[in-house]
Amino acid sequence: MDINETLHGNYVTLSPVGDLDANSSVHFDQKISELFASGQYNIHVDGSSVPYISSAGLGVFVSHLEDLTAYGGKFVISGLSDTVTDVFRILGLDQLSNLVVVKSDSEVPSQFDS
Amino acid sequence: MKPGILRAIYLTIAVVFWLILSAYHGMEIVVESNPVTPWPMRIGDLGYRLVMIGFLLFIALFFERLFSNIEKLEVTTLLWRLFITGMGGVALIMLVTFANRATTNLTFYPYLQAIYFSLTLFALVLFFLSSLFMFRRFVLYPRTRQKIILWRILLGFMVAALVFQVLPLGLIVPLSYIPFLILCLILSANVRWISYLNFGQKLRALGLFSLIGLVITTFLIAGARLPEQLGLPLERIIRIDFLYFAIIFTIAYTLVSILVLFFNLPTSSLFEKEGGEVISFAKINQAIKPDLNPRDLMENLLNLCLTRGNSRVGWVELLGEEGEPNEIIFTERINEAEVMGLAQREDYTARVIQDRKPILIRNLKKQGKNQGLGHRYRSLLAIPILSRAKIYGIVFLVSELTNAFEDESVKAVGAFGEQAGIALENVRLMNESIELERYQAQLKIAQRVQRDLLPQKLPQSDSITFAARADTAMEVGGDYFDVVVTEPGLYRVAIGDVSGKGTTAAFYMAETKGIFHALARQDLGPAEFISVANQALSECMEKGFFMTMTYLEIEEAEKKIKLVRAGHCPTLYYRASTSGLEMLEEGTLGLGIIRNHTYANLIQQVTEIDYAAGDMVILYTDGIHEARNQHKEEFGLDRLQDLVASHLDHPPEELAELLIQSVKDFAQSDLQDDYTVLIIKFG
Repeated sequence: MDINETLHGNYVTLSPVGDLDANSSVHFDQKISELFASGQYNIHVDGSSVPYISSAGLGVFVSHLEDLTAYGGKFVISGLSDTVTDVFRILGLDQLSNLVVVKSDSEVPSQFDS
Repeated sequence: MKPGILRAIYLTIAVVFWLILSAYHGMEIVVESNPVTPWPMRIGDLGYRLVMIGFLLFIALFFERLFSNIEKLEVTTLLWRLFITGMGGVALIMLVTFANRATTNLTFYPYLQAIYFSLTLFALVLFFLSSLFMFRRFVLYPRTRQKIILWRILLGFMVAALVFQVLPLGLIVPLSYIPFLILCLILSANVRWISYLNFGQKLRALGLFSLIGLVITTFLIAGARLPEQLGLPLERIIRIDFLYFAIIFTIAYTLVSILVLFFNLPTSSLFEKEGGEVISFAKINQAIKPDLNPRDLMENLLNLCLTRGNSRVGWVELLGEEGEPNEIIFTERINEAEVMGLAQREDYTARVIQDRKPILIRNLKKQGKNQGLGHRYRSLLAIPILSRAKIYGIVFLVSELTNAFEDESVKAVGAFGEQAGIALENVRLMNESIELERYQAQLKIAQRVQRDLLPQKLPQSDSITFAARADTAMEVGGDYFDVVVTEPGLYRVAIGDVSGKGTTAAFYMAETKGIFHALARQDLGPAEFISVANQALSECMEKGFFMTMTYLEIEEAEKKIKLVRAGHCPTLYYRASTSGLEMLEEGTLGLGIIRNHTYANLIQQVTEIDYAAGDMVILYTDGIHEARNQHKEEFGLDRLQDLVASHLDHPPEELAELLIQSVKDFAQSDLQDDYTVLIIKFG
């Protein structure tokens, strides 16, 4: 899968294109691991081009939560469709402080300010 | 009766007849040499002929029996036996000739003459009848109905000739020689056995037939001269057409065989080569077995290619998985160091890999390659070992001569390469399919084991009915549901879904069952149950995996439900009093996402419901509402709710079945995910 990477001051935006399923999530996971290794823990995922996230895709976020907590980083996910947002919500991920799902991109920078 | 005894009887009778014949001959000679003697013997003319017929008939029967069961046509062995028989006869005749000269002056010479004559006749009859019945085996190779009929006609002619000896039928016998000759020629054309001989065997057969030809000639000359020497007119004594027929057939078959063998000699090596190729192909194909060692096959292949390409020096380069040059093996009359030292070898390797075609260089020197290969060798032939998918290796043949390989050899050796490639490909496919079969067998076991992990029978009471339907997308899956009754009237229900599908999910599902059963017996209360389950699963699940679960406690006496939703799909609840369906959405985080004590700090919202008769709980996993059709449209919760709403009167079993069927109809394809439906109806 194609993943665009853009640096914005204190965070990096990843823009994956395509379904985030068992196959593509391996690549996505690798990308995040690379960012973590380079010391970047503030990650914005632009989900506007991700029509579907499978449980394996969710697993990518879940597997990095501990590291995020340890290093004080954050996942901010924007642009998801209502269905995919629902998946996050049902799973209870909205209860987490370091994984935030926002509606639009404009909300993203403020999420990393705190 | 044993065939051996029968033969012995035939032979004995024949010998007795022969002795009587000899006596006749004696008297005949006495009569001839003393014309004054009245001619009582002439009256015995018919008797003489009958005895002669008896003699011939029983000799024929003897040989017919003797050669009737030659199973295998061993051409040289049989011809050798015939030749030895003939030589015995020739020796006998020579002895007789010699004795005849030496004994002329003796007073009882006439009686000796009779013995000589009888012995010659005996030798003649023995040889030509044995050749007749021996050649039958040659003619009937292979046996066909038509040939057997022709052979019987031939024998018919001979029997008729015997009969006509006694009957005064004048012209008929001489005339019968014409059709008999034609029949002999037709039968003599049956020399199929020659095509199965290799060059050496043909040469030997030709030699033996020639010797047999010499024996026949000797017999004919001696047979023609002897009566004259003995002073007896030949036609008076042995004008027996039966014997003549046997002689004619023997001569015809011998002549035709010699000619065909002679003209087949030059072509034989080519046939052998072709035959050899067929056998070689068969050998390569036979080598296909799961534990085939490619090196053995390559060794075989190289030897075949060297033989077929008339070359003495060659080697095989095996290529690696990705087609990269890997190693050189099985050098013939050249060692690995020498091969590696040949300068342009790698160029040719690369070219063959690229073009997937043989390379033939007729003169390396002309290619301007005086170094390396060209320093010592002039011709080079490189053949890829090809399958459709890949190149397994390259066979190199080199020769110190220029123009050593012909186009025809390139084709043949190329075919070997392809055949070997197919063999290797087949072995690979065979191994793959064996492995696949093994995996599938293992998965079938896993599937059975996993089905056993799910409750085979759900509890049932007057006021509560459970019904469940579940299936997996692959052989095994990550969905879990269970109902445990630890004390009467207290039901603990769980439905869960491990992230991902397949084997890994199935293992965690099995662990979940262990955890659920352990915790269900500890009377923890729903909130605590979930947080302890989170801890337990966090310890056993790999990072990145998580699980969703809805846990319920149903107290039958109080008609109370306590429910915790840990990331799992909201429970659908039907309240009979209001005829309304609702989604129980309150819940907490899925299991295994936060793997430390902080999970317990999250608010574990417990939904409490006082149920009444007619109420219904519909639990399910995401395989239901996330099922997608061809247009990537989801089945969705709305459809689920509508379906339930319109089939409330269905018994739980039927409703569960209906839901599953509707999802399948919607998706119109194999399931992408595991699915489970668990319905609890209160009565």
